[in-house]
Amino acid sequence: MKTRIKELRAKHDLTQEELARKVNVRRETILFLEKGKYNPSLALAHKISMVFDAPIEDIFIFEEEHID
Amino acid sequence: MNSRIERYVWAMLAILASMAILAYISVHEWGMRESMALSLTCIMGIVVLFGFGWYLKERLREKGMGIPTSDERTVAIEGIAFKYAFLSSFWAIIALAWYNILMRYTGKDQMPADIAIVAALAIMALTWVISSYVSRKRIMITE
Repeated sequence: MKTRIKELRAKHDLTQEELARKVNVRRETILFLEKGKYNPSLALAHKISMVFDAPIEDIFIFEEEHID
Repeated sequence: MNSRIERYVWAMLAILASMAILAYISVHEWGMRESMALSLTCIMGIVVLFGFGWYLKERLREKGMGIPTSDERTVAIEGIAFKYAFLSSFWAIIALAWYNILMRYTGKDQMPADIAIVAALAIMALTWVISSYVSRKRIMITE
């Protein structure tokens, strides 16, 4: 899974810690999300999409082989 | 205080405490075996105590800053660590039981129950620490 969190965070001028506070998770969780090493719950994905005011599918990009 | 300096201070305090224990043991005229066992037990206790103290301090600091001490990723990590710790101790208990059964029927000395229990608990604790660390640092969590 790829994410656009880093790009959107830069666009909204947010640090990892600030985003973490907004969605009520630890900073490491944001770090691992950005690296594509953690699949978030639907609730967390929704919170992040609300912060960036963008649809979930625009933030989290699933490659074809990972959808099965 | 800088976090790195703070970590060094904690490590130095743990080392000093260990040295004090070693000095205390060395002035007594205990046998080699007793001294070694006592030293290792005390040092392990100090490491656990300081490690837990550090962990608690960090969690309290984060709580004070409004950072959640646990989130969905940490819960997932704990779940994975618990699963592996449970499985490893389960198989360790079976292996130890088989060992003792084998010893009984071959007429050799069986492992004392207290040592078998401590061994199973040590395997559980070690697996928990290792799997927590590995999950936290490297493995992709998809569960």
